Amino acid sequence: MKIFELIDFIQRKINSFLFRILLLGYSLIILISHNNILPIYVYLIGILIYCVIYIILLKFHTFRLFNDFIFIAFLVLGKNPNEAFIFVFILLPVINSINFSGVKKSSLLYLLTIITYFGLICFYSNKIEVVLITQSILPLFSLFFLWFIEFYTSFRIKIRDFREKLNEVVDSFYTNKALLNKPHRIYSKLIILINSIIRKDLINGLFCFAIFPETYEKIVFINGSKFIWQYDFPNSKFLKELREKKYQIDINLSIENIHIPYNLVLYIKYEDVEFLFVFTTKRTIPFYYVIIGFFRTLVPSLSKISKIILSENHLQEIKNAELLKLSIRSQYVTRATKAMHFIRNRLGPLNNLMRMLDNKGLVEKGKIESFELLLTSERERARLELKNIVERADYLLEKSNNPFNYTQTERISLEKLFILVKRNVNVFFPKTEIKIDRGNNYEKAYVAINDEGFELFLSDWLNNMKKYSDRSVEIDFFVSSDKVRIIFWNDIAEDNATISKLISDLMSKDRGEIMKRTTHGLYQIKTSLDEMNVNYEIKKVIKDSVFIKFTIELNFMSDENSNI
Amino acid sequence: MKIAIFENEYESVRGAFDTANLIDFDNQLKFSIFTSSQMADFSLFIDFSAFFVDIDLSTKSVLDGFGVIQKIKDTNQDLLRRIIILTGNNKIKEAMKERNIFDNRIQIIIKPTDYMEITKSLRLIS
Repeated sequence: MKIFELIDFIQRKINSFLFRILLLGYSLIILISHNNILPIYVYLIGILIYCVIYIILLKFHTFRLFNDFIFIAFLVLGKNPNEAFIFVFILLPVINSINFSGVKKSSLLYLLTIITYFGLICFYSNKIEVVLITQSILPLFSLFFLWFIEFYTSFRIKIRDFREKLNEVVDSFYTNKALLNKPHRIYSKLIILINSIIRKDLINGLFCFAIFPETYEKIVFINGSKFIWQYDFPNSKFLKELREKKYQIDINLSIENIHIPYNLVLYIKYEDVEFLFVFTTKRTIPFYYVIIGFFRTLVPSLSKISKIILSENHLQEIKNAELLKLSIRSQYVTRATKAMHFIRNRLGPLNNLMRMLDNKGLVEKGKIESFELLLTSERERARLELKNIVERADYLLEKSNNPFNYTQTERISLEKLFILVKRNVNVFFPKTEIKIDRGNNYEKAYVAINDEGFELFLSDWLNNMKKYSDRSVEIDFFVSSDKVRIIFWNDIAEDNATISKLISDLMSKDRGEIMKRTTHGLYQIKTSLDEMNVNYEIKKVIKDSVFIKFTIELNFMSDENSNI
Repeated sequence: MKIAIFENEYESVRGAFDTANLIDFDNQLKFSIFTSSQMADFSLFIDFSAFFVDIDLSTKSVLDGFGVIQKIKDTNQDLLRRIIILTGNNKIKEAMKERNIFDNRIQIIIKPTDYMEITKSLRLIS
């Protein structure tokens, strides 16, 4: 039981108990203030029996209601029900009806009230006559009217509860791990819920179709309570009517080549996408559900599902773009591996040629002529293969073929840049707060970086800081009118020679090829910044101890386009 | 002495085979070159003294080098000792183990090779 349901349950139990206290108190006053047809001790025994039955029937609402009315009738028997004090006593269960939410229970309540009231009137008058009805027409009419209001209110509450439950089911998509990436699982839950409110087996399937702007008028199956391979909708006239009325009943639909005679189609448009939610039913949807607009109550929840589906689609598009990027890289790695195999294969003639030249002196005289011929042809082959090898090596060395470079930059806002820095800093130094100084520069500003290259640089350098820092780390994010400077400070316990080498390695323009072979990490940092055309500087600063100060500068762009 | 060579780039190893044939086997070796698996009649394989198998065969080949080895193995287990793999892949043993066709009797020559390695492998068979 959920917490709200539990609280509601406890509150209703307390209300129920207080109501019985009220009933008992009221009954005692009636006994004292009115003439009774039975001795007082009989009434006291009656009160006792009522209490015992109430405790016994604590879990049975309907029987408890009967118990109340029997008790009321027993107390009021022989007294004038039209007397205000007595009439209110008879009405007490109705007054308390706020604790009843079901339509059936409230109907019974009013029915019992009317029967009790009329029975008591008859008993009091000692006759059953039409005149009695006319005398009591006003109270009876009031009771009937109240009954109708109660019926309507109960139905309204029922619909409200239903909508809350629907929302709860759809919202569970965000909270239930099992539903992530599997929004179709919501449908079976929705079917159970809707069937529990209307007829138990009316709906047997729920399917979502969509019409995307790029696939004009083509109805595409998105998902459903079960997967479907084949489906057929009526002609375009059906779509026109659906767009106008927003729903259609019992359209000429077939699923898996089977005609589905009973169905309901609800139409929802979100962004540019039109969604068709198809409910397949066992019978035609009862007309009164259409009149009261019952299925309209589903629209907000189905709209939410549409939004989820669209979000999933957007996520899938992002995933596809990433997969494509990954695929290009994977192909590059495969081509690089193949190129190495190619080179190994093509080195065969050269290898053999060298072996032949090494052993030329050992060849028997009778074979030397043939050997010379073989030597000549192998030399030609080796020459040709060397050319092939060089061409293949050129391909590998060509930077534009390498998908692992970060020369392609995009405009991102200063805010996004800060988020990138903060996210990475939090990973390596969760306790460190970034020092921000924006001065008076609050205009929207953009820089050009490659997201991935910048994150790679951040991750590599912050990892370096964590590795070499002794105890003190600081990160500054300073914004001026035309640029942003990000400064990474860390103290360092290394000796002077190591620090000087680090600085010269990073700042030197002439040691790149050596760094490639010796310090892969630093080379990667330098390369990613160089490829993005980011200015950087590294310095040794002596404060209370030796610090490394690494500054990067990103100039603002004038273009207003941004990804954020 | 009949030698089967499954190799789609035979030109890159032709010199090594021809030189080995001239220097060490007095031109007694008869080479049959198969650039794809379907060119070979596996029922006649018993006649071959050695099988040089390159793993990357022609793209038109039905079987790759691993498939050829499996086929030879299925034809006659004893033929495994006549197999010499020619490959540029230095992780070939692991690849064979993954495919369950590794056998200690199979020789492996990692490319680039030369005629002396060809001779040595053939002598180990005979």
